[in-house]
Amino acid sequence: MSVEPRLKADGSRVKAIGLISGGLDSTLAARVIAEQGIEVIGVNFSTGFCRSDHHRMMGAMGKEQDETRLRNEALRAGSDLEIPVRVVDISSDYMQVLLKPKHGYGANMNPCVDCRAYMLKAACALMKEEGADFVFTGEVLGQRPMSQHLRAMKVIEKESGLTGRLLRPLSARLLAPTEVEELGWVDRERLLRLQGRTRKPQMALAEEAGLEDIPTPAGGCCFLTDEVYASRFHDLILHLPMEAAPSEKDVLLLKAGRHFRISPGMKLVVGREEAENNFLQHFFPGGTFLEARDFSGPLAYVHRHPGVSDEEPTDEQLQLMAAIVARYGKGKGEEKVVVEWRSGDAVKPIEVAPLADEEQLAPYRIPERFDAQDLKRR
Amino acid sequence: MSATMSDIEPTRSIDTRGTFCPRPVIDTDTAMRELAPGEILEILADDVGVKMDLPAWCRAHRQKLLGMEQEGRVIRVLIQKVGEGA
Repeated sequence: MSVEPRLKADGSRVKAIGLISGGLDSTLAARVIAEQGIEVIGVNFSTGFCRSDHHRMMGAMGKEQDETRLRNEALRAGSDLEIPVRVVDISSDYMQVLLKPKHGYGANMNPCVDCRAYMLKAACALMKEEGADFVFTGEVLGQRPMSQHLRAMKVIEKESGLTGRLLRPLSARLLAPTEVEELGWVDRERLLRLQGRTRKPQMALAEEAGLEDIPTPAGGCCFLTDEVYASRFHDLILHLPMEAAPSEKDVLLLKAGRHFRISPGMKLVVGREEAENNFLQHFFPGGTFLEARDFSGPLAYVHRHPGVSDEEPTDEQLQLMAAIVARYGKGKGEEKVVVEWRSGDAVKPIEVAPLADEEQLAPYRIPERFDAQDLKRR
Repeated sequence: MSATMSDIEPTRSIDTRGTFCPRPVIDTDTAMRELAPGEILEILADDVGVKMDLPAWCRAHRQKLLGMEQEGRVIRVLIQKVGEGA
């Protein structure tokens, strides 16, 4: 895109930081701003809860053939628009946002308002570091129930420290003019007035701009809005001592496999496909695993919450875990199956009947629904 | 591409093997910032996504992708710093 640079009164070029996910809205917002001759630096925050990062990891570990499915969309957007995109890892500090959100959770474990405020605070710091003039996002008024209605958007602006310097180019003309518009750094007339959940106008604009390869708009890419993931997270927090933050490995594990709680300090995670088996092996080397000896089937990992529990399973728990593992393998119809317990270099065979009865299994399954109120009561 | 790639002597090399998105990109970004114009960074990776991401990163940041080759699971990428765009 070759356009006349947009200058401030002092002759310097207007410069903006844009939050870029690579989805339709943030890509269009960046285009709307760049088209005005404003220098744009994109920033993409990696929270550790991004589904596409996980799918990509699984694809890389499994058999994904279509490499375009494995790309980072924020970089793809930067490449299409020829704007630099900095990928910033905020995963370690982000946990605090997640565990104690001032504004609470959405339908699942999603603290959208706090998350947004946190990311924009980080963008504000980057704005100062880069000598930029304002920050913009792809938010659309009324699109997301928790964070994209007017009141939430105002709270987010205030908490981020960006009052007057936060622009939502896709809905700007429905909102009061910001300082950056009043100063003439941005031409308000060329901003948009989109609102609501429909994506049709965005798709039309993308087509008009020749941006054809943007991923299909969906409900965002955050694991925290996923009900099953949220219930696992919730189970994890309820089994950690008060004030203890989950470890990186605790959280990483929530993304893959079937989860069973064996005791307050112990979980069994059973791979559902080859990629998940590889995932367990890759991230938990030297850990404790169970796998059927004579039949093909899943690999299962025995997880003790780091820093909280190092308990060894009782014989009864071992039998139970082996029976669960046998249930998901090719030997599930057999009377007896030998499951190997491997811990470091030690190997122990356990002979069990595969656990066929769903009712017997149910108490160990981590529930797939949860009540966010439980967390507040905690 | 590979014949000429083996002749290129990188200024610096980073090994991102065993890590996944976004780590290889973040490490590349950080290393490129520390190079002077004209210098060359070699990136070793085994996350196949870098085959899409590092060319995209180069285009977005206006840096020069000198080449990319794969041997078994290991992907080797060479990027030359152009100006201060990184």
